[in-house]
Amino acid sequence: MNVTPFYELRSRLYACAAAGCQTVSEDFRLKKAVDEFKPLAELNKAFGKLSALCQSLFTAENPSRQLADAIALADALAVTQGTFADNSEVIPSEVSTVSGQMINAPYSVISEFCEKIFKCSPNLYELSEDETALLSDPRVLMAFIKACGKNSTYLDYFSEMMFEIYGDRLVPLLKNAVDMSDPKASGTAVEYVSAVSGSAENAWFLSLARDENAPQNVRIAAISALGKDSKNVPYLLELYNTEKGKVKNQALDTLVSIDCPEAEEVIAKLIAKYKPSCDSHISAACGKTATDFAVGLVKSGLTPSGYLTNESRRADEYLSLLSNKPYADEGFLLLAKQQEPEIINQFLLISLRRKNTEEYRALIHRLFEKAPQVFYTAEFFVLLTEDTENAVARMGKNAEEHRLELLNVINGINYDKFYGEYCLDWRAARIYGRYPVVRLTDSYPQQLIDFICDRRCTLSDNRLRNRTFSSAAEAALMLLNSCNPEDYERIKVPAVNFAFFLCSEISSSYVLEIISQHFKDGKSSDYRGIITKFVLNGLKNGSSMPVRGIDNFPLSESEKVEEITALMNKVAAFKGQIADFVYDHQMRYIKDYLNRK
Amino acid sequence: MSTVNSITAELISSAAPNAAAAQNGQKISRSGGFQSLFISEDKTLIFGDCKGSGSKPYRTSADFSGDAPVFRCSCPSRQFPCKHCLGIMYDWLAGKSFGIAPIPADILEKREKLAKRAEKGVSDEATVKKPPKQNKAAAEKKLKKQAEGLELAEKFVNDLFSRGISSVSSAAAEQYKNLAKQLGDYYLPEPQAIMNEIITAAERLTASPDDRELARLTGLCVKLSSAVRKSKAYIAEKLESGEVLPEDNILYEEMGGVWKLTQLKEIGLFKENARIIQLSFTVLHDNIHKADIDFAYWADLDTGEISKTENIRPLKAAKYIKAENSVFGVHRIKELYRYPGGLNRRIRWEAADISEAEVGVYAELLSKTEKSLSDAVKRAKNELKNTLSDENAALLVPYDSIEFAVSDGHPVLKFGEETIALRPNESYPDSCKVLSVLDGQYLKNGALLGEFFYSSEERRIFVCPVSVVTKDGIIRLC
Repeated sequence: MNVTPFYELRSRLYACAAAGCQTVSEDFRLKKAVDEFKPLAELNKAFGKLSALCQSLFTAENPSRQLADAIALADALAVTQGTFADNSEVIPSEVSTVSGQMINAPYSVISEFCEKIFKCSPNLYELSEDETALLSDPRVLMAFIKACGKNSTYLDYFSEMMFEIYGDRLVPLLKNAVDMSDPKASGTAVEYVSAVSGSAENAWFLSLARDENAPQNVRIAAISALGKDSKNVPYLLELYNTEKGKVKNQALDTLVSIDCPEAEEVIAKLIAKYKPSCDSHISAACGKTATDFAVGLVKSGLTPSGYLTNESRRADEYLSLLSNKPYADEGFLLLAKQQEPEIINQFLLISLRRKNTEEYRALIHRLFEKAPQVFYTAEFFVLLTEDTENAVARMGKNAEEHRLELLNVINGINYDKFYGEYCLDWRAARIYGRYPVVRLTDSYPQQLIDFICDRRCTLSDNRLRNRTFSSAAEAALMLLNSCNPEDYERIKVPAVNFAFFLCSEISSSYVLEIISQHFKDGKSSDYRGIITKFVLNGLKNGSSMPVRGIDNFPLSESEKVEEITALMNKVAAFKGQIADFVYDHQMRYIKDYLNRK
Repeated sequence: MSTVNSITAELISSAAPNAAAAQNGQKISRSGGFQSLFISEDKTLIFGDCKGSGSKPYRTSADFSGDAPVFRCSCPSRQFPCKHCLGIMYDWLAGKSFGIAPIPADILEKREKLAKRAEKGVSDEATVKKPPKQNKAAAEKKLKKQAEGLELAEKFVNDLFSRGISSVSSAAAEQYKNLAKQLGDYYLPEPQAIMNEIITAAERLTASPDDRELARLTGLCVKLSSAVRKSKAYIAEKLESGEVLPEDNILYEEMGGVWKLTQLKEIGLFKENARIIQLSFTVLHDNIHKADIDFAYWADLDTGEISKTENIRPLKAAKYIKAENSVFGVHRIKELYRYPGGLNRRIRWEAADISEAEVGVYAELLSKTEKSLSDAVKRAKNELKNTLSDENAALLVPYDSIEFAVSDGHPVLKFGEETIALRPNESYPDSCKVLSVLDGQYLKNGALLGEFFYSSEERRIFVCPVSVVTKDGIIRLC
């Protein structure tokens, strides 16, 4: 039965309701639809009822009610007429996720966690054990795929865990997540595909890069991904020659990041017509032509004695030009005199993070060999990733000389429960961005424990010595609080001994925390005098640390009061020798403590 | 009688009125908010003093001497149990030290009162319970008042059809708002809600004209017109027959009637010794009623009937109403009450024994699905064609496989020779996407809990997937 007249009638009834039924008698389109519906009405009782209702519309004084009834009946009939078969060509699901996909997490837990993913919450950096258990839930996976349009380092970190669980099974889902209809869509999903699959999806990257209708950010991300395969050089050259604006610039940057004759030619042409606006491309380039040019610029900006001339640029601008160049030794060594070691190491590590290749690591080793007093942080970073167990020993005497800086790097090593490994956080070298951790080892190296808890310190500068010990105490405490449970006992013994040693050296709350939180089986005599040392060391260094930690010591109340009272007399001896406000502060802390008791 | 040893993290979170209260309880526990912590010798009671914003500490206790825990606190919070009661349980869970102390006199007194009340309840139950007497005169008066309100609503809808739905201006919308407000005085909350929905849709349409929105608005007007006419007929019949008390009819609730469980029982809307299992849970946002609804579908393990529960939490009072959550066990219910309705009736119960769902339960569930897709669609159509019923009808349909269209990736359910397209709806916008990332093994030989709905643009019936049932378990897609 051809029911088209029915649908036509229904649509006319809706039109009549929209326009108002005051003039329904003049609605010739509705009349025509009712007339054409008559043959159907004769065949079917329900259609007949609708037809009669529609006829009454033209004669009723106030047809509102009849119109509403007619629409209601037409709607009911439309539902009855609705078809359901779907004859699309189909294929079975190709998704094969993890075995034991978690499916029983309560709604409240899932919705709260998915909300964190959508909002790219900082909490994604530190998932609880319960949250980690949710990662294999399909709803969480879906939330991640949906959030892929966002730019967030927290999401990047989270994405690494999803890559770990799902591997390249994520690729089809990520590819579908690219929103080609939104001109402002981000290229994050493309970047994730590149991170998961390397150049395996090269054909897809190429199709996106060449698609003029694709969102700009998506194209840029795809062009960047083409840099992983040197076979793409002709395509990148084609894109560079035919595109405009940001897409052209990205094609150029990706092309010159590949060491090949075509890139050399392009860079040579750029240099021939050099303008400062070309700096970002020279910075991205890794070949010999760009290296020679950048080193030449550095040289021309320095006086014969190696200092920056008045006309030259800032040292960090030169450093930026030397980025991504694994044979720019001369430039880095020239600038070593000009720049703080922290900054110059940071530049080296940024290049290393972008392209963690043998060539860059070799560059850092060479630089360290020639100027260890400058390149120690970068060297230590590389050694930790190459030979974690022996990194300290391989630093030689430089480890001791730069202990404070190396401790800062060590503070970036945390045990990650998800991976079950210690990971080195790039942020320890103040490098921020995508994929912030490097996985190192599942067991904390003994050399690092010994280095942290080393009682020797040959520094003559008292303040620097105190800072170094304080930093070591902090590292020991952080390690105790977050280490692999299997390593705890191995770390606890030297760390507690070190803390007791530091009591006589510095005034640091980290020391007190190590003793009060991790030294559980001591006798009361072990704890006597610690607070006194803590306060007196502080006064010697001009600080007035509050009296704390003693409440957690297993001393009797009378012992605590006795020690603090004796301490008050000792502090009184400092009057006049130290600044009045430091003295007053300290006395107030002591009196407050005694008053509470 | 149980002891404090029954305190678990699950018990605390299920007792907490909402997630924020549980978090606040944890905060109190972590920050050492309790100045003193005690436990009774028989381990049925924990109590303590918690520092609060008041001058005196709050006296908090959790009493496990009865069938269900009783929480008491002297704080002024209207949340129940308050964060302090949750905090003291977290303290117990954290293994903090509780001193042994005798049960305070006031708690002993309260326990005694509770025991007396329970005793009285048992003796009341033993005697034949007379249903509370209904006030017929008051019910009749209310019906007459409602009839007046319905006249008003009818004028409104007739006026709309007469002037033309697309011509509603913002000025007219303001007038209609006042009219909708008045309906509240006539005890007509549902027609009032539809009217408010119409006004909101009309305002949206004025701001950005759109054919789909216009069709939706027309549908709402038709719904209101039908509701008014059916309600008028219902009232007229009641007044005429003189039988003004509630009966098994959805219109009673549509017109603001609130069912008491005793009334449902009286008219036979209950089932004894029911076994049900939750198939899905979500929180829906109802902008018209300004409320969150904890919404769940349940399957009766004996009959396969799909029912629903709705816990409405008005946003204004959301803090004080306990939010519900997913539950996974089999519920054995002595008396399961069923509200009047169509395919998916609302259900309620007062107490249930919950046991872990054994693997066999899912196989049992799979044996209770619809027999074919055509049967399911037929049942759904019967429900959907009723103007006053929901726009969705939930059914458990079997499948041989769920596959994905080559053209646009939409999922298609296949059972025997029949197929139906799966598509998201407003309540479950992401469920098709979740289905697409589900391991392929789950998409063979199972059953799908889906909401059937009609798309008037495509003149087709679709199913929105909600949960997947396999022989090993239930996979919730939201």
